[in-house]
Amino acid sequence: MSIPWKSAVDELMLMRGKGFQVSQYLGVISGLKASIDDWIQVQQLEAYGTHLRRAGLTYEIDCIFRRLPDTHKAFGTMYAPTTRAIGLPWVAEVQISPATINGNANWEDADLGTNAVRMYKPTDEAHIVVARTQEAAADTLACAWYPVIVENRVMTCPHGDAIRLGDALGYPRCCVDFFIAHNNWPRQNQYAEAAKVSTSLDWRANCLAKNTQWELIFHMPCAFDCPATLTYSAALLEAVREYNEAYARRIEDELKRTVLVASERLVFALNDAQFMDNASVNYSSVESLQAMVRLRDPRHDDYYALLAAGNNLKIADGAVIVMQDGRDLGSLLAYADRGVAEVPLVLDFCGSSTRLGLN
Amino acid sequence: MARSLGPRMNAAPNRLATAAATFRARYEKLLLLRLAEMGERLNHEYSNLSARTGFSESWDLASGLTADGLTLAVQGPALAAWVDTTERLLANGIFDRYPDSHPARHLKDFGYFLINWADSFAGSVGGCIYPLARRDIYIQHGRARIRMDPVHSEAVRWKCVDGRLSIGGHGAAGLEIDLTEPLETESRDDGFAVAPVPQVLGVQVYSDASAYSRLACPPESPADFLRRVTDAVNSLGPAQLAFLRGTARAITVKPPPNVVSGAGKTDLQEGDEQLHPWIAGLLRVSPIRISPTALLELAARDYIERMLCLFPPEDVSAPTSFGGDLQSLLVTAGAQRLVRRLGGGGDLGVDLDDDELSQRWTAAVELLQESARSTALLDALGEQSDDVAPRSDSPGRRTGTLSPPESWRVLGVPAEAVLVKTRRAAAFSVDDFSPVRAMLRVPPAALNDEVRRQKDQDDWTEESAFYLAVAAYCVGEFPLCVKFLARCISFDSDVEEYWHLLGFALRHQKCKAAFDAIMFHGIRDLPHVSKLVEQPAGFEEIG
Repeated sequence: MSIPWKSAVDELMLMRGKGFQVSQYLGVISGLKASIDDWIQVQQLEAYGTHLRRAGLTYEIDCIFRRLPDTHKAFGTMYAPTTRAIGLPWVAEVQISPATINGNANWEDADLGTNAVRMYKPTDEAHIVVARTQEAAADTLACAWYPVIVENRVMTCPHGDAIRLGDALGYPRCCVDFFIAHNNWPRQNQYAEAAKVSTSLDWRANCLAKNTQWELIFHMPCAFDCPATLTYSAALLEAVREYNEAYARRIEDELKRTVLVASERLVFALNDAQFMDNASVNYSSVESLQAMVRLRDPRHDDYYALLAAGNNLKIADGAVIVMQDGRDLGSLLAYADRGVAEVPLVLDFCGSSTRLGLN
Repeated sequence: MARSLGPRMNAAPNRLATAAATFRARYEKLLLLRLAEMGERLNHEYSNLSARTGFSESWDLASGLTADGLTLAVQGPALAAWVDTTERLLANGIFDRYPDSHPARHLKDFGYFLINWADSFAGSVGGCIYPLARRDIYIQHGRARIRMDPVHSEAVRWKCVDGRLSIGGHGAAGLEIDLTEPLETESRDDGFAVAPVPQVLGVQVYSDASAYSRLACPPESPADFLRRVTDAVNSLGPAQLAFLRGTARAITVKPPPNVVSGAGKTDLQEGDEQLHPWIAGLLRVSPIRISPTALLELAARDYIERMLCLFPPEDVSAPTSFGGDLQSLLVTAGAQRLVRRLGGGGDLGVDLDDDELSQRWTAAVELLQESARSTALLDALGEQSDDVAPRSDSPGRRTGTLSPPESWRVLGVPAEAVLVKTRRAAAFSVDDFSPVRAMLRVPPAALNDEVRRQKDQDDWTEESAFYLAVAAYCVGEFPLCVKFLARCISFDSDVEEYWHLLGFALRHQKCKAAFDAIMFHGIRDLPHVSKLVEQPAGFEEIG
């Protein structure tokens, strides 16, 4: 039987490509969560809104993000390790600049920093909150916040809003509390903290694919066998299955993997992984799980190149030592002294729950 | 009010060169004290890890270093980097949380220093290196290196007796090196070879970045890099060269960024401090820009960084200050002023015109709190500190704190949940919401009860009104929160934390215009804000 919202989701998927968070949207449609946030290019907003309404959803716009180049030096960037943009107010009447459609203008050209925004670039992105009702979207928006720098001052939001936002996004409260306690990049590695308290590694709690098209859960669980997360995840997968059985099967396959992770910005899947005496792991090839991330760690490509050249690795003293047929090729050093507490770990979500890098 | 701070030649180049050498010596003495403190602390507080990684043993051996050896040891940029990393790992609690990760490697890496200093011990000395598939081991205080090819990850043992260093350990016979003539050593089949580290006028040049970089080395020919650096150094004038030599201990390659920024910018401008943190005495030169002025500017930055270590402004270390950016501004703008004093400038892509440089420097200096340390810092930079008039009324100053009243403390709000007030236009500050964080630890039911008990009292102090507003925010009583923040503002209208929390409370009541006015348009006028609120929601008492 054809369900009306399915074709709308198909359209959204077509429009957004690999960047579309299918499972998150389906979570809202199915009522598992009140809302999600997303970024939509301003040139796509109109069509997006049409498809969204057909899917029974609505949205509220927070503001417009104009992404900064990776190398842009701005005050406060250490407070923004993953998302760096200039925020512009959303004004419905403002036009999209035709002059910039072919990329002729650079990002300084639109009265940045003033209230008189005359033009949006087609690639500017609206930060939006999607929900089933306007009220739910507005409620979520009232507690959503990215650190913002205004006149060289970093504005954060009060911590209580993180709890409210977590609730609105449907995340288990235990995971929200864990996030608040441990998501402190210079001092803690949240994945390592979650791995420490996990008794097993359940693929349904594997959030490390969240920057790929095969994501299921987006939140970082308080443990990789968190019961609340497993319940939530199973329901989410069921919603995906209702939408597309084959897609759900593929997500499941993609989450049952072995992953090398050093930080939220350095995540790689090891294909055909085989653990050797709980000390090292053989693999046939490597895949970046950050390929779609715009602001990648500058060492990402070095990591990838060395891992791709090898077929075995071990972790010792905060270093990933890569070998090829028993011969050392080189090492990838993780650091915890400059802004990000990196801790290299290999986590097996294929059933063995093996963990390398945690003693 | 600050007067114009345009570039002025108020410090002669020769004087700057002398000052550079003097302050470098002071910095290195201070480094020795920092090293001693770190070593003792690690052995005391992390004795198991220190023993397990061999650090305790290495530390004991290091005490046998001769006085001359010690002097040379603190000159090596690698030791400054090691001490700095130790301090950061300790400060961030990494030794407690992840001892077997970076901290274990870091402690084992102290073994690299012992072999590097091996010719400066009175008697025989030996130890262990953990290469973890890294390629180079430096010897003779960095004047030569042992290169391992192929790389390997197993531990390497070494011993030095009567100036003869023997090193090996993975099966083969190893290498025997006469430390008085290390370059005469014959390479062996087991992959060890000795190579010199070239010097240019006493400054060591590391032609690849592996020793000091977290990124892969660029495909720069080491010989070409050395030649270009040598040419640049030889093009410096006498005072410029004296300044460079008074500052730098070593020069190395800075890997270019993965992404090239816009036209006209150079990688000197890019925010990559996390990948290439400052290391005292080390100049990282980008292969895309090797010039006398670039070297001079890097030396000037190094000089200012040392000054900031010796005379740290209060702003840089304050808990609510975003000190890293202030430091960055002082370093970049200050370095260009120094370069101009030294007669350089003009061929760097980052060169600013006089007005822009003056503006940046003025902005940086105005953010310094007036203090003896700031004065000393400016004097050391050759700036006249009296250019900056007293700024007791400066809007950016942090003044005042509030502590939780007893009624909240009995509920479990910790005494340290103190609000450190920051003022309007306090650039480089972050909001201090630590009282909110602390209040969230109290069970919501208890918070609710206390809010209800207190809300109808009428003898408000600024302190009691603020903590009640925070509690109201935590339990979602946003109109109450607005009401009590308005009270706080009536006591002290220039506290950013009051205004920002007010903005967030209004946003929860869907008063977006008022929120935007406070957060983005800088409105700090209650009647003005209240007019933007459709439903009063806490603003009843505002006239």
